[in-house]
Amino acid sequence: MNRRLPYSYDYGLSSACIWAFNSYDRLVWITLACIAPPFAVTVLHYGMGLAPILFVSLVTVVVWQGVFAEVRKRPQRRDVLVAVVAFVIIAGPGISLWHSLIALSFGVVLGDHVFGGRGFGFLNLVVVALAFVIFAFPTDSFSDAPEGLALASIPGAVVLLLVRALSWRLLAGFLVTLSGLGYLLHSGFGSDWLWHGKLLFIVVFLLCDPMSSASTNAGRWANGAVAGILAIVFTPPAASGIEVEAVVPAILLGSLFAPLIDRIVISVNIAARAFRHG
Amino acid sequence: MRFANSRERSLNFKIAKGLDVALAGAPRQAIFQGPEIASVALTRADLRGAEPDVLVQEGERVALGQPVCVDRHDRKIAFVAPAAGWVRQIEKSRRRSFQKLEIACEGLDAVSFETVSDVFDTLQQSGLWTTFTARPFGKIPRSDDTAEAILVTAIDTDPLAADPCVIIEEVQHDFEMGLEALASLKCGTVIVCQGRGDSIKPNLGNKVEIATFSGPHPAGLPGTHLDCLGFGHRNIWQIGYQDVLAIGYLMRERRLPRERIVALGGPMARNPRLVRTLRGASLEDLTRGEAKDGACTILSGSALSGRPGMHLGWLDRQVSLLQAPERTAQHAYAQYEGLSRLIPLTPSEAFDRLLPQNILPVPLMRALASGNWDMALKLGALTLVEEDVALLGALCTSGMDYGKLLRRALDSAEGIAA
Repeated sequence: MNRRLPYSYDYGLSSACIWAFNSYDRLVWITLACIAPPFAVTVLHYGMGLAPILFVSLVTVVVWQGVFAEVRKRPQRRDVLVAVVAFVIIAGPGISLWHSLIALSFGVVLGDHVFGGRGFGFLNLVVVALAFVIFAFPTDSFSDAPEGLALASIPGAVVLLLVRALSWRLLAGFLVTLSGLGYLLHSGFGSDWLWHGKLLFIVVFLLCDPMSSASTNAGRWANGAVAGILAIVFTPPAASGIEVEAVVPAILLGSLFAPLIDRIVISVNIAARAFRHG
Repeated sequence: MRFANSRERSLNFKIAKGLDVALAGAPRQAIFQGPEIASVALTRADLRGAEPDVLVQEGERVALGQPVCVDRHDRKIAFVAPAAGWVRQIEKSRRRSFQKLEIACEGLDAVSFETVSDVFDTLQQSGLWTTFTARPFGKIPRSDDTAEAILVTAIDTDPLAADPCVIIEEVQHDFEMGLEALASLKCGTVIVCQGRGDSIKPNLGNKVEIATFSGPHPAGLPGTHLDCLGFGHRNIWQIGYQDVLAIGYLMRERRLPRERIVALGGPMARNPRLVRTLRGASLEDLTRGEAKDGACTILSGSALSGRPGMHLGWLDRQVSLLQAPERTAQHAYAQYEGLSRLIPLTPSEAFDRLLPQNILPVPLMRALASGNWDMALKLGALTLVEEDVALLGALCTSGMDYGKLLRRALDSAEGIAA
């Protein structure tokens, strides 16, 4: 790819680089603004109790980020801040600091940086870190959701929908499967199951992360449906709602399936084109 | 082919996908005389992949329509002087490849094409052959090539574009003569693609077909028209309305028209309007006194698919005056060579609303970004050219130039590069 280009190349230079509407930095700032209300709710709820885990998470992520940036000679990136905030909101002060340090290190290194950083892999580092906590330290329990967390996630969800960073297809695929199967299999669900615990926050900020979900419209429906089905499967029969322990592994598996789902959608598209044009 | 019987089919298409980019400085749709142009040029970009043999020398006098270079591999394809004057400079790169041929404008001499009878020969000798774009690949058709159809693009949905009706109405007769000449090439049907409700009604009976398109931006691109009309990646020629006007003028007067109309517009334009100017005009002359104070980027072409340069492109219909980009963090990274690639592509749903073709945008972008040309071609890259993917680049967070990457994929399909 780096060889000198043949003669015909200098034409057709488009100005896309000169004049881009969207910059990645802007998107990171928007996401940070969207995650601020749920974070504020969490801070108000726990007060200074949140400080140790926030500090440990921030230091862990920033140090790993710095190490990789230094070794790979790349610029520092701010997108890890979103991950820190999301992890702190979901984990809460209930997780031991030592465990969150190991889990986040695992998430940052194996979920993100081995692929080249956010946007180059297919997993969300927060999902990987939380799944690590769930599987490696089953005795740790996630703190209860602060009052109003679900409600505080709504404005961010609306903004992300408007800038199309959040896919309504993915969201709809997840919620439709979840409510349908939940109605059939889990009679214990209250009428407010959607507002239960941290479900809505996790759905908006982790499930609907464009970097770790399917990237075709059909694939987004399927990805949401897969995560929804798995979330129901992982929920114990007598539960009153969907807990972090069920939805996070479901999202992780959904992310793992996303490239396969996209691959199927692409193959169908290619086959249809070959059929049309001969 | 879908175009067997002309009477019963309706060729009205409503495009749902796309995006009209809101930009300040839309041109006033009235034609004004442009400023005096001191120099015109033929640049490497205008050759669209042809390798030139230059026929003139520095200091030599040339007349409007006189061939200044020919394609080395197909000597019937001539590139002609866009204005009378003398050759000021023939710029070559350090490896001796052609960069630019600049002509200082002087006088009004024009070559007369009286003796040429055949339309093919007239077009090739007058240089207007080079205004055809052969699809797929988007290059100048070979001189012995034929097409399954000729698309005349008389609609322009690029941001800040001129309204083709305003320009064609003035010289409707030339437009009809040009279409007649195209029909006499006997290269399949001539299809005029225009906006819905446009007043251009060429009075030519069933020599030409009319297709209308409405909707947001790519509705005016030939790539969209090809897809709607069901041509896929078959061998089609496309030509813009201003070049059809030029062909009409050539048929009537037996010489090339001197002028061409371009839209001057953009947020930095003081007085956005349509101006009459020369092909290949120096942008410095054309935009002198036109830009507001402040750093300004001048593009030949639209804000989406134009290119920076010193001279108006051979086929460009507009000049965009934009604010020069600020040095954001993203651009600051770009100074480390290669590092600009490390800004991630955000595969959001927004892309799925941009391409009217049945193409999966994010997989296509990923295939292009990773140099997987085979996959890009399978995903439908053959039906596209640079301008068709300009919207993807404008909305992408990675800052990648998909037009350039697409050209490499197309060249690999053509067998030019490995």
